[in-house]
Amino acid sequence: MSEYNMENKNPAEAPAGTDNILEIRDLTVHFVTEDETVEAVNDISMHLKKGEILGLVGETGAGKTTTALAILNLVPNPPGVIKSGSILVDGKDVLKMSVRELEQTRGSDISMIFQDPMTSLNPVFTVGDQIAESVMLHENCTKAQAYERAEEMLELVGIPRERAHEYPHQFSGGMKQRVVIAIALACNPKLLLCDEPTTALDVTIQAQVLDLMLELKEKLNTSMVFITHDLGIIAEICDRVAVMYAGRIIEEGTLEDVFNRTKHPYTEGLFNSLPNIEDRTAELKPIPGLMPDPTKLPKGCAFAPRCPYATDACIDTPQDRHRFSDTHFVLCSRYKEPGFRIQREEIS
Amino acid sequence: MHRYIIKRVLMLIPIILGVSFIVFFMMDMAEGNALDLIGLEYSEEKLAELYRQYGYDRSVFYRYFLYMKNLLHGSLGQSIIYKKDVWELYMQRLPATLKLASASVLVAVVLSIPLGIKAATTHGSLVDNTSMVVSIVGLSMPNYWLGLMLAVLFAQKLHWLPSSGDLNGIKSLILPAITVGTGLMATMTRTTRSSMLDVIRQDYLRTARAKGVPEKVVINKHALRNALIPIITVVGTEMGKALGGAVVTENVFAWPGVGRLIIDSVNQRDTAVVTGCIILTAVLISIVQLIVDILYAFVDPRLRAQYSAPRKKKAKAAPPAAPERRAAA
Amino acid sequence: MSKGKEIAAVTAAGTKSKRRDIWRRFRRNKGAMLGMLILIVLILVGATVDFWLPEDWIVGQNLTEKLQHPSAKHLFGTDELGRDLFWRTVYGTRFSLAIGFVAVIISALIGVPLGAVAGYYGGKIETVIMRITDIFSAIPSILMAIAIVSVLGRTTINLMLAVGIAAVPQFTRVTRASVLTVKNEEYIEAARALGKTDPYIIFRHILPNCLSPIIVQTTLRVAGAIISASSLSFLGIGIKPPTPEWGALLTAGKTYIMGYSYLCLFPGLAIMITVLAFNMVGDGLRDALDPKLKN
Repeated sequence: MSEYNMENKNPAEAPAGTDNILEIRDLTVHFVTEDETVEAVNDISMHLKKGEILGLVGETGAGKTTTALAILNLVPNPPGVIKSGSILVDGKDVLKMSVRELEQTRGSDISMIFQDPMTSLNPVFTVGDQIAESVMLHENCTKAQAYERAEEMLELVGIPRERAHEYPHQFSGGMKQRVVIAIALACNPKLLLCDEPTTALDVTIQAQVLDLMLELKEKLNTSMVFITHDLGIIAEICDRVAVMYAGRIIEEGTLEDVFNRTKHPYTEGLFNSLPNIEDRTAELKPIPGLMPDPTKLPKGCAFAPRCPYATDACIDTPQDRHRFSDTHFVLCSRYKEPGFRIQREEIS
Repeated sequence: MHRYIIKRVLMLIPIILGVSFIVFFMMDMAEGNALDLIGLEYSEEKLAELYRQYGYDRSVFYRYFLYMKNLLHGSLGQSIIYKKDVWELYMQRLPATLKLASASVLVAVVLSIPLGIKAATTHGSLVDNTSMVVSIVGLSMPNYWLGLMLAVLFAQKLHWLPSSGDLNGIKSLILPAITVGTGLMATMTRTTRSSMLDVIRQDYLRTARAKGVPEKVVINKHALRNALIPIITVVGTEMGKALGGAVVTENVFAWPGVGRLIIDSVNQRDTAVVTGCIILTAVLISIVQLIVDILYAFVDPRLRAQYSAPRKKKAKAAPPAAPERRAAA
Repeated sequence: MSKGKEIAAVTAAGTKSKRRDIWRRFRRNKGAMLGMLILIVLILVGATVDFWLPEDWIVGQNLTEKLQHPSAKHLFGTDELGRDLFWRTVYGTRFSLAIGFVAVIISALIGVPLGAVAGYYGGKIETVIMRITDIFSAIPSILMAIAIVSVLGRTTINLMLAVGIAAVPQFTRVTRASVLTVKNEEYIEAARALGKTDPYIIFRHILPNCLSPIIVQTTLRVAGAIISASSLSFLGIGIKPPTPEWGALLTAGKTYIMGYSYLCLFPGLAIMITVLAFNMVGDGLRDALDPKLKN
């Protein structure tokens, strides 16, 4: 899988045989209720090298958040069921950990920044307490030391330390997200999962928070999975990109691969639906149709009904994986045909 | 906060006025009066004199005025039947009512909150379903019937516990407390469960879990603290109700509480006693309510801010507000 | 089809499917369905019992068979005058149900408009209505009912009135609270902009949109009213024995509770099962009408 050349930033910490901080293999997560089964994540595999930022793109409901929660083994159960697969974080399978091990791993080795800062903080505890709680759990220290650390973390994310004694309702949305980031980073996690950390913020705050995260990443040398549906943010910060659709990764590659050598019709559709800054008069081309009902996924390619290139075979038979380079692959059966190219490629 | 408490105390005044007015006039409209009931004991002249003394020779307004005048002087008036001060009568009965109310609320709180939490965290499980069935059945039992059945079983058949009065210490408290407590427990379990179910889906619990907080702590610290407001509200309301006297249960177990005093006095048309007791009950309920409100502030910092905010706002906003309003007019 | 008709048809289809959704959720709730089944049986019995139950079975005394314990011949046993308790309990259904329903209709008729006006107009009107409500609810409702019965006299109608009036504050509160949640919705603004009168807006737009909590409250209050009314009978203030109302049956049985506890057991069970049925239906309705409360 990882035969291509790469830079390894921390070889000393890597367990023998791998320098991936995260390896997901054949992960399938379903939500099973009395009436129906939602096939949220279907047989996905991906990896993340140390110090790398992987962007996970896709529409709402594509299974991005579920994937992130699975990495923490936090998929709510019931109704969530992890059907199969393994998730190795630093060589250890989180899906096989005991409760005790999980509690130790969550918040210290792996942290997560959640989408909505307005609801992610507990309203009845001070922000200082909420950061210190994490420190107390994972580091052998006194309450006073933990609180001291909490105050330092607040300063690190640009909030005056005196505000540690205040409650979440006394903070603005952007400030709350900084607090959430401070909680996530309090114990220097090796792996940080960011679930649309800037979606709920307005644009100026968005930029500030992104800068802050990049800066902290440099400082603490964290590896990140960055979930978003904003291609602009991906371009700005990610090393590699995985595009998800209906619970599958349909295209994965380096930033260059996916942005400049786009192969999948869906990825192409995503780019076409962006406003073009060079041609402001150009009409936006949204992808027609809606994502398929995740309770009734078709047996063929899930994107086929919306795909301008789809053939009858696409609708009836599962997609094939097609590899273009060590780093770049798509899930699209049309590439079996030798001359197949999508429009975007023809133009460029 | 002080201001808030003062405001709450002041709000009691219209309630006391209103309650006394309603009770007084309703008692007057009811057929007969207390003096007629005890009239046989007295000669005609004496009765006429009593009529004058209590104002029964004049209109009900005069009597109400008399009552309010006494009230202003801190007196709740005299019972015609018991020939005692109403305050004294009430204080005689209050300990029994307090004992029953606190015992049943305590039992209910201790049992129902853990049960409600367990039911919510195992939503849909056997424990959850059973506790819901049991509590809806508990809620549907008339108190007096439950009391009677308990008395039959434990006092008559098994001879384990006394079935009436307040003379055998804890032992005589058990059956009345279970009778009152069953309904309370049902209500509190349901409230705890639904409040916890609301909270359990909140994002901040996921944040806590993602930090590595053990599940027990997530539930008992992070979730419960947020679910407490409705639970405290119910405990307060039910405590308040119980302080008004568990009228029916007191009747079943011959429990010498306030509830029975009021019922007896209604039947004997002893207006001063009824009015006085209901006023005192209203005051007691308000005090419980105030404690509940103060507890809210301890539990939820957002409410704490609300209590102190109007004060700040007023202090700052008052001077410029007046000319503004004039300008607008 | 004109555009307007089309919209009307779509809306009608919408409410129809909404109703079907509610029914589907309600039907899945086993407790609620059981409660509903019990209620249907009780209502059928209550409504028809006068026609098919021979009077003699209810009032006919037979001293040779007095105070007999439950047996195959007398399912619930007999009372001190040899009357069959089973048939008396069956006959009592009509009293308890009638009292429950009428009392709640009375409270709703007074409480809902008051709450709607308070919630809709706000300001001084609201303050006045809610303060009066506070005052009334400062008096424990059973005492209130007792006082009303002592004023009006001890008849069945007055008992219904007393129980009904005592429960008004709850209806006022619930209605006001739910009116407050919808009164600032845009369709209300729109109706106002169209120059509709306030009563029209309240009855045509606001109340229909906040009915759910009121319906739930009504169902649960019927249960409460049945308990209150029978409690009053038990305290000797409501319906007098020998009328076979359940509370009165129980009161009559209390005299013989030493040794003949079945005389109290069965009427009490009847009350409990009826109240339970209403509570289960009420819970089921609440979950069905407001699914987010449940899941």
